[in-house]
Amino acid sequence: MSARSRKGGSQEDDDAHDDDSDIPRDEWLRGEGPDEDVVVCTRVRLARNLEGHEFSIMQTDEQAAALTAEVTEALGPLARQEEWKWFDIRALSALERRCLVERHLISRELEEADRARGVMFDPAGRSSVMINEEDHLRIQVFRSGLRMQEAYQSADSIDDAISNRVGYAWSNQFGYLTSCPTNTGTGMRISVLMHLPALVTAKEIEKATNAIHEMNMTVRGLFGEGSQDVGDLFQISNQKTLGSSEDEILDNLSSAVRSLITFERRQRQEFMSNRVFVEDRAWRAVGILERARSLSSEETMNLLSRIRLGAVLSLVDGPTFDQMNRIFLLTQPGHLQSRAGQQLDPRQRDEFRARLVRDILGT
Amino acid sequence: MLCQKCNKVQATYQQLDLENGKWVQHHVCEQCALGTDAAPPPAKTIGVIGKLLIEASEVARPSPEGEMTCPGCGLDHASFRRQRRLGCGRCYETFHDDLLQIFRRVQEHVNHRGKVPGRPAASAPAPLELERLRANLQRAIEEERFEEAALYRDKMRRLTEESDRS
Repeated sequence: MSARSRKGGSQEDDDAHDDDSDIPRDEWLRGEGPDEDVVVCTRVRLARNLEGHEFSIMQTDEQAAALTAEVTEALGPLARQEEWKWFDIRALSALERRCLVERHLISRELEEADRARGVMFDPAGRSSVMINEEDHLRIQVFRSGLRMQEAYQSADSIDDAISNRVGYAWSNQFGYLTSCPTNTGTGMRISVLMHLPALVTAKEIEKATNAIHEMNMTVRGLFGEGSQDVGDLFQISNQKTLGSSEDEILDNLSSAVRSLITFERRQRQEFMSNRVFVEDRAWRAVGILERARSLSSEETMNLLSRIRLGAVLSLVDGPTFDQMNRIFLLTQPGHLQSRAGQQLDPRQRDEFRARLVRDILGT
Repeated sequence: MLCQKCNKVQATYQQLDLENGKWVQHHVCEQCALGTDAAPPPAKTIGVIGKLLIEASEVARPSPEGEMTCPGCGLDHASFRRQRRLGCGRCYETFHDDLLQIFRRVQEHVNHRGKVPGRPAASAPAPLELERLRANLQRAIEEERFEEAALYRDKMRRLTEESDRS
């Protein structure tokens, strides 16, 4: 998504509110890449376990600590070479952990577990390795836009580098052995995060997602199960990990994603025959974001979705994509409270969120 | 033919059981073949000897709850069935038959195809891997995905260097 000029405000305004230099500009939120009008980002995750070590459900506290220490030490040279940051999750506050979940660098499982565990990630959020999650290692690679092969190749290289340092739990029949049988085989889950506002608005999303299910793919919301309706964002991922090669899985997911992109674009074109409808919804959303005094997280996401649709159809010249992406990340509960420097109850959060959005937009 | 185990229901499966160190063929009903909570496998009856041999290692041989315990981590059969999680790599041998049923249901396949880890020396044959990378590189160049093409090129270079060293 290219940079756009913002309605109102000046360069000084931008500078005045540009106190966010410490804010991570993570890869998945970069908003650039192939098919960026529909695809937010591509993520590849590989699940791996070390041979001769208990998996998470059977670990004692001592074993969890020993495993985390062993992996951390083994991956030390790689982490230094790649300039990854390392965090002991137990040493982080609840808020810091939440922020890492909101940045998608760690999973909810890693956030909530009660055992020794850690994460390494590169500062640009292009890759992360979770240590002692449900599996001993969860390698994740993110790329903005639709870049499945590139993301896989990168994950594959990290995997190779790690396997030179530790021995993996492996079987000739079943492939990579994982804690849950739904990950056995390749251990690979590839997810494509898609923005599908036209299909949602036209009430065609159910039909589209049913078709995806029939192609043996899974459809979930931004933060997994139960977050389906927030911001018209959907994660499409492979359901099966055993019996197909990585390339076949990539090809199958690619066909599913390609068809969704086509459906969504076709629906957007249909909307263009009644452009005032989309334009009006987008501008109303801009109006609310610029003036509201209380905004829930969900409402913010849904408003951003309408503005983004208007912007990609060049019907709205409101907030820039960069501003939208900042609002998207910074208004989530963890980042919001971290910024406020204190725990906030839901009502306070909504007020603080509205103030922060106005700050970012310079209104 | 009635099920040779419960003698109540028509037998729809042929199953091999290990009895006194010998494989013995039984005609059994679905319930006895799969246990109570298992879904039926895709093939209902097994007619030819080839299929029978394949199934010999795969059809469930239910054992009483809790009887099997993984020697690697101590996970018992009942806990495995309840949690549907494995406790270690050896659990895949201990609960092999249950896993085959689960894989048939959720994965539709029971054999891995795909990447083989580089260690131990069981890595994918380098020429095949090189061929795959070369094809990917070619496709990436044709489609002007140059960043991706560079990754393939680097990977091919690394592979070649590695095989030169060994």
